[in-house]
Parts: sequence; C-alpha cells; structure tokens
Amino acid sequence: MVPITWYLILAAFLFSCGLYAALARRNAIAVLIGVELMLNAVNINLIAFWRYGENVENLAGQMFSIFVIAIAAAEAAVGLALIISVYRNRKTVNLDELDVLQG
Amino acid sequence: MSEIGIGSLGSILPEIILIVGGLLILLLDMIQNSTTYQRESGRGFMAVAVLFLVVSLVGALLQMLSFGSPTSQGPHVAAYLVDIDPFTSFMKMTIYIGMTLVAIAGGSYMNRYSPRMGRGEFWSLFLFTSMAMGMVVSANNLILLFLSFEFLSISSYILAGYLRNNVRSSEAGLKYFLYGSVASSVMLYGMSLLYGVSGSLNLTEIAQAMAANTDFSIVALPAVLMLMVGLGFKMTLAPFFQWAPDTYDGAPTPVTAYLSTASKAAGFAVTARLLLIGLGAFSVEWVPVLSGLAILTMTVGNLMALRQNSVKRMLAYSSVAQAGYMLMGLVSVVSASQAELSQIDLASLGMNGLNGLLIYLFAYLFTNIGAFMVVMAIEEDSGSHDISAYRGLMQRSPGLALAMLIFLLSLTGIPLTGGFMGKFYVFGAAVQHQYFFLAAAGFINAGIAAGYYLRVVAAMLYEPAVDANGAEIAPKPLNMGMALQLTLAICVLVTLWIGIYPPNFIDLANDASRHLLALRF
Repeated sequence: MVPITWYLILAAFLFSCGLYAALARRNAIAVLIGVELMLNAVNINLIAFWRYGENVENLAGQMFSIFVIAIAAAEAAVGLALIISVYRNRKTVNLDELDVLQG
Repeated sequence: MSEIGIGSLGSILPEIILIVGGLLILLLDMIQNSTTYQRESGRGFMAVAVLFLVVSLVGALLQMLSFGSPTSQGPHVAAYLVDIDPFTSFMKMTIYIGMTLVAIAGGSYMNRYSPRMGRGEFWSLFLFTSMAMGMVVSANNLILLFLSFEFLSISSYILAGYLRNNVRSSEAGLKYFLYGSVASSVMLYGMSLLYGVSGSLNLTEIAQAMAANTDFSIVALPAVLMLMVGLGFKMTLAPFFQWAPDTYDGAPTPVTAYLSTASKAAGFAVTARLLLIGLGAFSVEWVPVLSGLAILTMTVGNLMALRQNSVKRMLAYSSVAQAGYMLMGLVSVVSASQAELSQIDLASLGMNGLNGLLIYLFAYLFTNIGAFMVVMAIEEDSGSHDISAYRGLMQRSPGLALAMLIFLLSLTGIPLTGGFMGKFYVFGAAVQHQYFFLAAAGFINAGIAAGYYLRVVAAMLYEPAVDANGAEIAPKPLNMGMALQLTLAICVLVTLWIGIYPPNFIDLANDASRHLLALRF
C-alpha cells in the first residue's frame, strides 16, 4: 500500500497552492478557485487519516469529508452570487478596484 | 454518550423552533409573491421572526433553569454531537437576546432599504443565522462545529451583501466572503490534523487521546495556529481583522450590529470550548499565541479607531479592540506560573478569566447593539455616519444623546456601567494569574480608547448642529420609531443594571464558567 505520508504531502501541496491562489490572485473568481483547492486538500487529508487510522469501521473521517464537499458547494454558490452582485454594480471583479470602503 | 432518540431532541429545542420559523417565513414569502406583494411592507415577516426568536429564547431559558440553582453542578445532557451545559445555555441566551433586540429595532431599517423582492428572505436568513449561532456554541464534535460555523458564516455573507443594488453593501458582502472562506478553509485543515493524530472528532475524546500520548504535542502548535486563523476571523483578532471595518461599514446597520456582538460572542464561545476542552492539555502552546494576539488586537484596533471620522467605522475598529480585551480573559484562565497551576482549584476562584469573558461579552452585547442602533437612527435621519451628523444631538434629541453617552461610557469602561464590570473581571483575572504585561497593555489601551469615544461625546453635547456645508443651523428634533426607543431603553437599562447591581448576574456567569473549567487539566 502507498504510505500515508504520500497522501499527506499531496494534501499539503494542494493546500499551499490553494492558499497561494487565494492570497496572491487579484481576481475574485481565482480566489474562489483557490478556496475550493484548499477544501479538497482537506478532504484528501481526512480520507487518508480515516483509511490509515486505527478504527476504519468508524466512518468519522469519511462523513466529515462528505459534509465538507456539501459546504464547498454552498460556499461556491453564495460566493458566485456575491461576485455577480458586485459585478452588476461595478462592472469589475478585480479586488484592487473594490475600494469604496477603505480607511 | 447517551442514546440518540426523540427524547434528546429536547436539547436542541430552541434551534428546532428557529428552523421551523425560518422555513415558515420562506413559505409565507412564496405565497405572497404572486398576489399582494407591492403593498407588503415586510412588517409581517418581522413580526413572525421576532415571535420565533422570543419563543426560542424562552426555550433556552427553560433549559437553563433545568440545571437547578446557580452554584450547584447540575445535571447536563452530553449527547454525541451537542453538549448542553450551563455554559452553552448562558451563551445561547446571550446570543438570542442580542438577535431579538436587533430584529425589533432593525426591522424598519431593513424593510425600508431592502430590495422590493425578497423581504421574507432576510428574515428567514436572520432566523437561520441565530440557529447556527445556537448550534455552534453547543457543538462538541468537530463535524457539527464546522458545519454550524460555516452555516453562520455563509448566511452572514448573504446578510452583509443583502442590499444588492447598493455598491457599499455588495462590496461588504464580497469582502466578508473572501476573507471568511479562506480563513475557514485554513481552520478546517487544522481540524483535519487534530482528527489525524487523535482518530476522533469528539472534543472530549480528542482531549483524552492527546493527553495519553505526549508525542502529539508536535501537532498541537500548528493545529492551534490554523484553528486560530478561522476563529480569529470570527472574533476579529488582529492579523485577520481587515474585513471587519469594511464589512461593518458597508453592511446594513442591523447586520453590523449582530456581526459585531452575537456573531463575535459565538466565536469566543467556540474558541473557549475548543481550547479548554479539546486542547486543554496543551495550554503551554496556545497561551503565548493568544496573549500575543490579544495585545496586537487591542493596540491595532485602538490606533486605527483614533483616526476615523465616520462613527460607524470608528465603532467597527473599537469592536476589534474590544475583542482584544475579551481574549485577555481567555488567556487568564491558565495561570502564568506552572507551579501554581497544579495547586489551586481554578473553578473556586472568584476571577477565573472565563467568567470575566462571559460578563464582558454580555455587557458588550447590550452596549454595542445600543450604540449601533443610535448610529442607525442618525443614519435614517441624515443619511450620514460622519461625526458631524452627531453635533448638537443633545438639543435635537436628549434621549438619544443620553443613551449614546451611556453606551460610549460603557465601552470606555467607566464605573457604574456594564463595560466597567467586564473590564474589571478580565483585568482582575489577568493580574491574579500574573499576566502583568497583558494587564498593563490593556490599561494603556483603555486610556487610548477613551480619546476617540469622548470625541463623539463632545460633538453630541457641546458642539452646535451644522448642515452639510458646515454652516450652523437651528437644531431640528429627531424622530425615532417606537421599536427603536424600546430597544434603546432595554440596552440602557441592562448596561446600567450590570454596572450598578451585578451580584445575581455574576453568579450566573460564574456558574456557566465553572462547568467548562471543571472538565479540564
């Protein structure tokens, strides 16, 4: 079997990519994509910990990751709705140009 | 672990009531849509929402009374997912009272400014948000904790961006969403690490697994740091607070009022439960992190608040600073000297830090909701948050000016107000547990804070009213709705009650705090 560290490294790598996208990209959609990457990295983590854990018959980790998938969908829906409402008002989704509120 | 059955539904009764209320409003909204929508003012939905909030508040009260007399360690329900104990009940009560006050006072504002379609949505989301807060403070399992935390966040994103044709509101919602989703993903990664080392999602089981194997302490620090990103976002702690001023400024004022009080209180309750129950064995790791965050938060919040001209924005930064003081209470739960830690029974202390946090949260809730309601009244009258709109308020509406005066004094921490009792207990606990640097930083910051609070007081009391161009005008009286007057009166009375005659209330907070403290170490 593939050792658990491989999965953990993959998850950490994905998470870092997502975090980088979320922090560095200036486009709201790209930030949203970064967040989705981070959530999926966590899913890999949870499933790996569950599969390699001591009691596999306790499905806690799997349950958690299913809920995380549902949350990710809800978050994407609400996020896109908010992005659309900003786009209708401002004709831009570039975060640097959202500067009505500052100080 | 108790059996899961119909009987255990009673432990989440207040939340069930809120869900039913929210769904009912959605249904009513759908029926109305086709027929008489144009004439609908939104008042009906608001009345239903307030009704359901009050009923669930009564439910939470009954739950609280079922624990028996204060000071006794009454029985409590520990189901697999939720933990119903005096601490939970105290937080639920605090949160539901806050949400009810906001609903009563904020109704007219929301009904006036919200888009013509979908007034019902606001109220059903409002009830769902209250439900999520009630769930999040009682969750003792990481799944439920994360789910209700996200439920709270997601419905708050919508409420903050609710005025979708308004440039400011939609921007506030988007900023809140972007910060919030990143912060909660990081928190989730921290949770997955906790699950990985302990093999369980239940907080008590995590604590046992962590205590059994000291090798796990390597994971404790990164896990705590990652959890604090998500929790710090909700509590508006310093490195993660940037969304707060923008969102508080742009969101509809009633939404701001609950984001800065009830939602923050929920954040503190979750943090207290996670750290004290789940990670109590690793206080050496999290105490330095938290005390650093506390000092940073209060300093940054206060310094930024000093240079604001908009009162709404000033209150937003002040609420960041207040989070710093509250965090001090949580740090002070753990004694600075390890030798002392093993000798004393924490729960028997008069100032154990956690009760300071609870008193502070409760007093702050009323004070800050009151202050934002005054901001709302001024906004509805003049359309401005600027400090110049507050000039001459004493002549225009003495009642409103006096109420604002009491709220600002309470936020400053002047004796005979609720804010003073909160600060007294939090600072007292910090000194008692030998966090002198924390207490010193707190005192200096309280001094700085007086500067910007009193600037508003000076404008209200001593400066003449001006028009938009700065020319002096005759003060014209300001009209307030009945609901707003009622809410302000309640806020003033409670603020003064906690400040002047607190014993009963402090017993309640002590009882609530003892339960969490008795479980750990």
